[in-house]
Amino acid sequence: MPNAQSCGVDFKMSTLVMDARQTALLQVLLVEDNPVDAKLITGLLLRGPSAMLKCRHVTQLAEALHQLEHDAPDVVLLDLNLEDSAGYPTFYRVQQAAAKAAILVLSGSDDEELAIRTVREGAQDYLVKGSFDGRLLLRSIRYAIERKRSQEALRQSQATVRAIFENSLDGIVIFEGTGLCMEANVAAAALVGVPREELIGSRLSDFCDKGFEDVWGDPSVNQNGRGQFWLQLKNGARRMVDYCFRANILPGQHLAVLRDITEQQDLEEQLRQSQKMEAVGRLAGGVAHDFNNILGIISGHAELLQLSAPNAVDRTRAERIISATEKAASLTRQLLAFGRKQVMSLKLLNLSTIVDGIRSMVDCLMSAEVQISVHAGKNLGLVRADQSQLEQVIMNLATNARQAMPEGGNLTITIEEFHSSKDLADLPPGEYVRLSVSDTGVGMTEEVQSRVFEPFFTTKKMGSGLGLSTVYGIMKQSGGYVTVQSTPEQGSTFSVFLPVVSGTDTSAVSAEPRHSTRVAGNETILLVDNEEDLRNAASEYLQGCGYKVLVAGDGKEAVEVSDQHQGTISLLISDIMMPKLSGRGLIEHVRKTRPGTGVLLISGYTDDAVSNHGISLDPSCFLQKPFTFQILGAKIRGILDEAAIGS
Amino acid sequence: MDTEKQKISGMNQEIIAGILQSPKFDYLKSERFDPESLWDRVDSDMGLLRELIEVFAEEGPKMLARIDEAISHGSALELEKASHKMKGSVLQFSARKAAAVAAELEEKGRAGIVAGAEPLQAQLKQEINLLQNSLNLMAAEVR
Repeated sequence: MPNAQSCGVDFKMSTLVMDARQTALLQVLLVEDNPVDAKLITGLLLRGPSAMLKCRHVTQLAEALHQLEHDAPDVVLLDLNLEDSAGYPTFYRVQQAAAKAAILVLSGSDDEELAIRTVREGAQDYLVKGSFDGRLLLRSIRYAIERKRSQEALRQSQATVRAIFENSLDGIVIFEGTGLCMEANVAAAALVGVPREELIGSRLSDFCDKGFEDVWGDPSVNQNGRGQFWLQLKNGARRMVDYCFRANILPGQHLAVLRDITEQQDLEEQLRQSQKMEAVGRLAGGVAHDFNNILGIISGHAELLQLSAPNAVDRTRAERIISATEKAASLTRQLLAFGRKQVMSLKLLNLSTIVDGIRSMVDCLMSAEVQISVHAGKNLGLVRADQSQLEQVIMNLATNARQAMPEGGNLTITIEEFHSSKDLADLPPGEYVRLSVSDTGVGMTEEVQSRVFEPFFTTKKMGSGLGLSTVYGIMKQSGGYVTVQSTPEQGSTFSVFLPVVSGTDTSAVSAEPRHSTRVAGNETILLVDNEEDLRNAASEYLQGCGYKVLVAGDGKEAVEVSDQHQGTISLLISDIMMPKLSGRGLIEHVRKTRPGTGVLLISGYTDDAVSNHGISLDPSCFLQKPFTFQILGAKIRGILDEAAIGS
Repeated sequence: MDTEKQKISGMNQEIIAGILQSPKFDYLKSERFDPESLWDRVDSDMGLLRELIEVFAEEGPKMLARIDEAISHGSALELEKASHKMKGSVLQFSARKAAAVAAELEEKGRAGIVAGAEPLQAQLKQEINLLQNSLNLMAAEVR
């Protein structure tokens, strides 16, 4: 840098008060090719007050640019007309190279227009040679630096605001008093469903329901506001928008921030619905449990009556009582299914195989006017579920479809794989098998759709209102999900989703083995139930089958009976929840004292309830109330026979 | 109050002493040259003024020679540049007449008209000579 001169000096300024912070170590680059001007300016800068001023002088633009590559001066004093550059190009080049420095243009031309243009182009000041002295020069430098800092802060602030505006996921709109959009970001345009250019110059009310103005209010009156309104998109869709606005962010200009909460509203509604169903399910399950105990007593005694009836008339009457209790038990099973308290026998299943298996039943269910078609994808993944429950789901959905098509129509069952990438309320991302049952029937209104899974809700004269709620409950219990899509007069589609169990071999799926129907035996059984009527009836039945039966009314009594009995006890049949000593305590005692004794638990609750009580047990050793004594007998026989084979 | 009066009195004496010590350039003032303005510009710093005068004594002839060469070669751009530089220098010395002549030459150069610049060239040399004389007189004050 042959022409660069560097000079630093302390000097006192008596007339110009400068903040120490503003002047401390002030770096000045003087770009001036006139030796007289350069001498005067450096002379003026190096005289005077308390601050440190470091001034570097260069005579050509090239030197200045080179210098700016290495230094970051606070201010550049720039003569526009140099030997190697003249006029505005000089300014632009320096401005580009010294983005953070204030630029103070020195000119021999006392041209007001030129001065204004220079400042407009970005210079912080313009000084005419011969018109300034030391004080004015220092003051101009100080002001130029302050102006540059302010401009830089403003620029950064504007850049920040612009970045927020352009990248916000919320819609941002600036509008004037008449509601006309003056500025809008991309998110706002996307929300409204028009190009940004179209939104600017339009009114938001053009895209909203009638009555929007009432919601929005008058910005001249309401300074701030928050609320919601519906957008009506050109494609017919409606979006719920949460907005807040602030009036007069600039005179006559109002800000509105818009957020699409349609999905959030939908999810909240789904959650509310889900919670309501959960509550109803718990209630239904509780009622069903108590009712099952009563049914068990009725059914048990009716079976005993049937066995001891002296004539055919009494046997028939007993048979009708049993039949009626079975129907009642069927109803409570559905309630338990809805309440997700039904016992499940989980297996790996192929939904397509299940549909094939009950196809003939579905055919029988439909009237001749209904055309049935089944579409099943190939190599479908396996799901873990209870086979009889899934059959019930399909039958219930088919029944529902038939009832929706009194005049006939098309019933379509589709089984296919489904990939969920979106986190829905009840369907997390993952792989599913979807079974859809579609009809071309009467369809449903939105209101009916929102209640269709509620127990006892029905639109049919003779409906129980339990069919679809059972589907809902089974799906929930199976870790699946059920949806409905329907259009009045066009039909409905119910879809159930079950998660695919990964890493399974489809060929490993086998048919469910049939239960033993042999009930007789001569082993000793300890029967424990706090329902005296049921206990006595069951005891009487089992004795009739040839078993030796010890009975107890609670866990504590059962322990005593077990301890006092000298012989073998082949099987302990016990309720889970009992006073004094629970089923868990009893089982622990019996397993300790009689390790060879089998266990069969009975309960009005599910096997979930068993595990919740801390009892580790094979699910096959559980029987849910109500049950017929014949089923109880078969279950007992099965357990005892298996134990005999094992030993 | 006595203290205040004493302060004011003391201040006046300082100012009066300063004025008595300041050089007087009234006799050099003309339409061509404003020495008071120049004196103010250098913040009444005679050292700085003398440095400036020395620089101009060295650079002024070079600038004139550059203008001569531009005119002799008929180079309008060079005339504009050289005249502009001369104008800037003499403006700092508050030499109004010399600056006006330099500005006229610069304008000619900008307009691309070198022909007919000689009278202005001669006038500028004369003004520079007069300015140098005035500056030398200023520099000779309070040695």
